[in-house]
Amino acid sequence: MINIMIASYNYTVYCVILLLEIFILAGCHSNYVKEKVSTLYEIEIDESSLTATFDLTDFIDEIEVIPLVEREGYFIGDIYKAFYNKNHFIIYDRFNAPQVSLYGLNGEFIKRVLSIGKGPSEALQIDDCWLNDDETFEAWDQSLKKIFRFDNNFEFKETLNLKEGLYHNVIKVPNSEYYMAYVPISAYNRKFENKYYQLLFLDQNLKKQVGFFEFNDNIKGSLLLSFNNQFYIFNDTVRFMRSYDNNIYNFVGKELINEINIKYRNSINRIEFEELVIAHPEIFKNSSSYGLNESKKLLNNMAFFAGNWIENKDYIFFTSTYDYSKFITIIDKSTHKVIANTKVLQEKNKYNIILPQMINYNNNYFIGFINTYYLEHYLLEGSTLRQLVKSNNISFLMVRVKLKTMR
Amino acid sequence: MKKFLNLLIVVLTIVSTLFTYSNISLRFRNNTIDSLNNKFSIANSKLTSENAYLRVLLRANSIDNINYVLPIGDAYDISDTSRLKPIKLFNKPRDKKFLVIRYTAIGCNSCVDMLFKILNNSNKINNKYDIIVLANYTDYVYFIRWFKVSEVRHNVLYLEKGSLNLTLENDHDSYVFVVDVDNKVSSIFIPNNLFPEYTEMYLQNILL
Repeated sequence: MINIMIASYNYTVYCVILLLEIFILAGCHSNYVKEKVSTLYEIEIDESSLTATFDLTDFIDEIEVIPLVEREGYFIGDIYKAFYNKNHFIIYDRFNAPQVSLYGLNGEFIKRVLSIGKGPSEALQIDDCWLNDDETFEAWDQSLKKIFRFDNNFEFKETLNLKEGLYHNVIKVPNSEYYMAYVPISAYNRKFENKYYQLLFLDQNLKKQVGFFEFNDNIKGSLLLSFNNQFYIFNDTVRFMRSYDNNIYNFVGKELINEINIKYRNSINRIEFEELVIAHPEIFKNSSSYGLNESKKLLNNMAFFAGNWIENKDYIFFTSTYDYSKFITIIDKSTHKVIANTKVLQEKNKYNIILPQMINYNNNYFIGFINTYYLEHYLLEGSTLRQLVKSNNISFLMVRVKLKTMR
Repeated sequence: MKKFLNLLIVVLTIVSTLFTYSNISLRFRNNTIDSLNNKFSIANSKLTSENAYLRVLLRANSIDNINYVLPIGDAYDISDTSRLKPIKLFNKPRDKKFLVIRYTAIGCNSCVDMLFKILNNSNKINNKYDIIVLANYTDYVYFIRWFKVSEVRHNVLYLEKGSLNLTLENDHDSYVFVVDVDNKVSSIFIPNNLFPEYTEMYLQNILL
């Protein structure tokens, strides 16, 4: 009896080892994850009934307009992204005078955080940047394939280097050392695990770990719009969004948890859109104005999510396009119902202005910027900002808005 | 059965070890070759583009352009967006040469920005030359954005593209040239931020 038991045990061990050997030789494993997940909630939008204006005054608790006081040698050409924490504004000019600069709460220039150059703490180009949950700051240079890291005093700390990767946007996952990287379909990138992915998770050594949103060679190289921001962090969730996809994908850690669907009256889903792109390479792989004009005709009368998603615990703001014209939507998060679908938001109490696009939220405030060259167009009758109109030069006004809490 | 399994395990272990070793050493060799190829490719690419740039500079200073006598053309103040009040250029006698920066908005802004950084800090050049920017642009906002960011401190006038009968007028580059007291053109240069040393060299040379 004992001999039989010993023999059985040995036999089992041998089979397990055998299976292990076969497994090693095959070297087969996959990180591919399907993106079909449950819907957190739906937002229904009737894009055919937009209002020209919406008065946000009754929702506003506080509003302040703060002129940015720039310093010679550190002028900003345009504001691509901005961040706000309890002590600073961080301004990112991507194209005009590439730099990341720090401003105080009074709008005064403090210092340049990241500039262009050949020094070890300088970038060749600044493709993206983000403020982490621990108030440290990071920036991504696609040409050098480096992430520049700064401490919470915005002092340069170190760089992380990648061997390869052309990522349009990068962000650090909250409470982790992982990064998420967005890959445009038009960019040249190598396959990961023999597949092309639009979204990649990178570990703390910036090595690819897992991919989402696979795409094939037949759509690769197509020229599709990318947003300024493909990610938005809300608490521990990273919301991922991309053009011509009316779903917002929610990630916690490396897990795709669920999605938010935006349902327009007349639109197509991402799969249908990709089929359209594949069927018309003469349009979507054509960088001339012909390609742009023909794509507009193809997508005529359709509404799509267009980015600029920002939210606090009560509200969500985002932009959509309908017939290639943009509009703003405000959602009540308690009911997921639309408060406003409008071309323009107004404030009619303190300043009498059209509000600029809100581009970020932190510490209870939404922030947006007005270029003083265009200020005249933002002023309503009786506006108190008329004296700030400057037609022959460019400077910036930061608009900081705190909304009333619902509950 | 047991002997067969033993033998199979041994064989598979040997095979998988050999396979793994071969894979690792092949990858290491490939990585080394890739790295060397990459370095060589970068160096080669830099040399090729530098040669191409030098050829462009030589062509710019060809017989077609050098000693060309500028016409007395009409420019406009940049605030005169309707182009109502023309300003005559180079029509007054003078004892100083002009250093002209011909800016075009479709050119490389960062290339010409570097030029202004040096000019703003060079008293010698500002003393030796009257410096003027002749700008061409279609989008006024784009232009004043560049004007602000580049910290242009010199006199800037709008001049329609193609107004100068120089071959570079039809190109997409901003360029620089000297106009002597007889309105003759010389020392044409196209700044390129990939080769900042040439910009410094050019500005030192025109001081000689």
